[in-house]
Amino acid sequence: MANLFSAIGMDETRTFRGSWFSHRINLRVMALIILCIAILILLMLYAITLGAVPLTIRQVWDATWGEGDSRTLLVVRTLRWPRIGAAVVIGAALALSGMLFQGIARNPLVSPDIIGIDAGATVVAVSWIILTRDTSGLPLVTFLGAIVTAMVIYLLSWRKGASPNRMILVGIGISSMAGAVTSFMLVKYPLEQIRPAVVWTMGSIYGSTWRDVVIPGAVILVTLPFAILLMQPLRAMSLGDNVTKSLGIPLESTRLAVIIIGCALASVAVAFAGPIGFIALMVPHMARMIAGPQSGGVLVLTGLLGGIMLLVSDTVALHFLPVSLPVGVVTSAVGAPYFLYLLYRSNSSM
Amino acid sequence: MSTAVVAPSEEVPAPVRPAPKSRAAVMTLGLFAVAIAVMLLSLLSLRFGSLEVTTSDAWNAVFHYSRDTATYEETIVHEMRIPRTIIAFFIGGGLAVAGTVMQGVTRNPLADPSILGVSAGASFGVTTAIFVLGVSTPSQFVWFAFPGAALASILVYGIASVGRAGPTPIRLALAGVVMSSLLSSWTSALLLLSEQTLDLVRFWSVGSVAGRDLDILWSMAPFLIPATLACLLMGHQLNVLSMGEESARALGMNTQRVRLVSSALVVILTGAAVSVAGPIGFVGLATPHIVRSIIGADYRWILPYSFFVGAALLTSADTLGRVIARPSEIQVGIVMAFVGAPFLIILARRRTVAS
Amino acid sequence: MVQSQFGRRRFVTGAVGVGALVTRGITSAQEASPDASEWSFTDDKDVTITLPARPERLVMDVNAAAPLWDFGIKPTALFGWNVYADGTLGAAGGNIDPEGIPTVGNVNEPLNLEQVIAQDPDLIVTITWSDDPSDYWSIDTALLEQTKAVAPIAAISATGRADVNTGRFAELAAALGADLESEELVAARAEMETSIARLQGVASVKSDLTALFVSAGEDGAVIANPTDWADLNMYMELGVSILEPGVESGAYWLEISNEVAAEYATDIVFISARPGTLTPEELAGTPGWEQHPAVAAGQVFLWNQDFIQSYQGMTTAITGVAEAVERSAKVI
Repeated sequence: MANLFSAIGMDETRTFRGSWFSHRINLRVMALIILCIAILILLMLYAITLGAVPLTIRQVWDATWGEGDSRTLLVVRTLRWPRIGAAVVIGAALALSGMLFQGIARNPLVSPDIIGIDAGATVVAVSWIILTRDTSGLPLVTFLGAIVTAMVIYLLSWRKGASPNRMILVGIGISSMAGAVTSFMLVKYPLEQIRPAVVWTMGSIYGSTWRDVVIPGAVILVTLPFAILLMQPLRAMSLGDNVTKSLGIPLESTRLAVIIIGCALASVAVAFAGPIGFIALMVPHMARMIAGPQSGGVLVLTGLLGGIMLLVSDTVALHFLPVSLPVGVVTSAVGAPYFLYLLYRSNSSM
Repeated sequence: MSTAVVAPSEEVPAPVRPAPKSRAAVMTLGLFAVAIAVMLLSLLSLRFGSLEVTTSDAWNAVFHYSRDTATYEETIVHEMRIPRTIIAFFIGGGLAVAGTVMQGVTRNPLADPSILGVSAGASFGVTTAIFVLGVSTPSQFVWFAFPGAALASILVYGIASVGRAGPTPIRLALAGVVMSSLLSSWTSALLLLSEQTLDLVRFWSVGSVAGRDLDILWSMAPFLIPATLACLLMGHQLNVLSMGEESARALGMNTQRVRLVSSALVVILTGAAVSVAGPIGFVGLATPHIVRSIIGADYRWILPYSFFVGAALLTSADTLGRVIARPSEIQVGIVMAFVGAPFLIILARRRTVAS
Repeated sequence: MVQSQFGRRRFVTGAVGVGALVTRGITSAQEASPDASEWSFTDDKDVTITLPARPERLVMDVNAAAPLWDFGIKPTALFGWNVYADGTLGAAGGNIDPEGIPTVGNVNEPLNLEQVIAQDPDLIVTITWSDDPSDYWSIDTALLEQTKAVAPIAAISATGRADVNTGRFAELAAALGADLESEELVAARAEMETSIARLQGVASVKSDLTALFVSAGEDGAVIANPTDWADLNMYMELGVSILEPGVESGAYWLEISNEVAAEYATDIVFISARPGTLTPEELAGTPGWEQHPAVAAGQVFLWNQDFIQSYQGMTTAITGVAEAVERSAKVI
């Protein structure tokens, strides 16, 4: 494991061993969390002032607290804040799910979106959009699609326990099948019907309402405490199954708990934003790089960084590109080369 | 200590002893039997489809066809089913051989040309051609799909192969998935820019042998046929490689060169196949396993058997896709995904592959 | 066996009938904009929009803007699935000159409400494909209420019958201040009526000809279910006999393999003009279609799926069909 971390630019072997059984809250991590919260707040305050309707900071501030004309209130409270909020919570959910999955897979190159959950959710969402044209029920069906896919992958990977590597390979098999059905739907139906579906598959958070903030936010609030508690056994598990057992940690149930939480987070993200790639993959790396190996504090930091990343990506996609693009295109364009670089580095050092 | 990657599988066979003469005779006989079986399956492919035809229609269409006196049924068989059967035969055989070589060289039981990101690469090539160069004739797309697919597979294969560990199942799979995702996101961005591209490109997301003119196959034949033949001749090298890197070197083999040549062949074969038929997965994955489980571990035999079994697999899948959705069809790429993905999952559940 | 049949209205209303629909449009439009300062219009969702004055700032979906453009009503801003990221509009844009017209949504985000608000619209105009009260083309149902809070939405039907819809667009245009009695529009309407009369004439003379509307690719084709398409409904009304492929209403298409193409035998084939589909020349070289009687006889014509529901758009579309029928002979 250690050489892998050094391979991806985190020469943390010493810290890794030194803080192994430490329960103390690392002061450095604490400072980083506070810093990230500050950055996140500043970014949100900056993003809220951007938009087609010119508003002063004063107007935005007043409107946020309910003062101003109805037009300003609509822009600030109904349009801008939900979109910013959705970017933050969905980015956080993605990053957290990635951290949890990389923890159990003991492989820093996986994330729930890569191993099939997004493909499963996509086939359900695309079919739903094409066949019903209804967007209000979409998040719920997509969520169910993601959860069912996750369950199928888990069950098919089960063979005296669910080996993480088996999950990756089974997940890629499921992805191929789901991808085939998605392609089938997109080829079968005429342009008018598939266009909204095609745009959905690119991953986007436009048209967010407060529902898109509250539900993913609630899922994070419910799961985060459990996830933090699970970080300790997860760290032990990274030493290998035997070490884990000798420490008296129930291997399979810990793994299952992590998978359930990770899948819930990934599913809620894909349900409300479509398949936004690479946040789940990249952000945990960044968090470990700046704050050291996984711990409850680093997990919180990962969530914050995920929120920052998606908010920045969406703001760039919406306001700073010559043509507006779905945020998923932006995250892929940045994230995929980064991933391939990681893969390249982890290979060459072996 | 755990590593994040999977060690090369130990499933790969032990050194092959020189086969006795009688075994060679049995194998040759078996190869003929398989070839005849493929012929019979091809005849079935001519006989069955969306349109109901009789056996005599199919027979006449093949052996007594005259354009002037042909019935509608005979014409359909002659002009639609014969080309697609020939295409399915060569593409299926070629992909199977490519998969076998890839599995042999990488000693990775999950290697399959389709995981190299070729489909996304082909779409990317076509979209770029439409958008940047203003190409709009489908027959020209093949010349952009090919370099796109080849480029994607070179990148995936290259990135996954760097270092001594080589292209392990997980590495190759992940690199392929991510490269696909990267190329599709770029393709998506281009799709949003104009009306022309969306309809043309979604066509490249599903593999199909329907409606392809034989001309497209012939235009790719200078790549497809020599690469297939060259692969078929690699049996000895693959046998030596299967003993392991060190043994192969000790036997005086330039393993680097063999790897390079075989990778180039796989990339050419896959790129040419995807240019003709679009992305078709799992033929290259499943065929070598089927063949190995029946005839054993000698690549000199596995390769030719794989060619025919792959051809049989794709021809059957195409026929199946034609009869289950009448009056419409299901593209062969989709049928193969449904047949092949469970195969991948079964393989993944094997201890040797994933643990 | 092919379970298809031919559809044609039993009671052909004649040129007077169709013309009357358009005329009704004008009279009610005049009623809709009385001298009183209040402005009101009832759209195809039966929603009556009442505004203190005639709306001036109009934010439109491309599919609604294209016909209104022909009636002389210019959009303040455009949105919708047919705005591409580079600002082009595709075939659905019709005669619109997009130069200088801001876009407030595109294929990536069909309607950006904040950009709409920035345009300070008096009215939002789009089309609708169904009776579902929340189905407004290019407007996200999740943001529908908020959009309505910005400005009322007027929707004109894209289904039913194209001539009726054209009349409705004329009504809306008149309500928005277009002068339907202008020289240009009177001439355009006359041309449309001429084309209607021409199609009806030839269709009644060649009443035994049958037509197929299709979108074909090299590995399969889809046959249009005529009752789901506004233009095809109109042609049937005018006496053209169109093959109904026997799918349920609302399915839009029947998917077929090119192998069975000739089983859907008709005298004329109309093939979609959309990019990425086969052209008439390519169709003639595609096995299966090659043997289709209409294709074999060279009676293949283009079908513009992105027809514009204006006088000019109707004239082009109807004249195309009339010419096709004129140039075709009975071959089955």
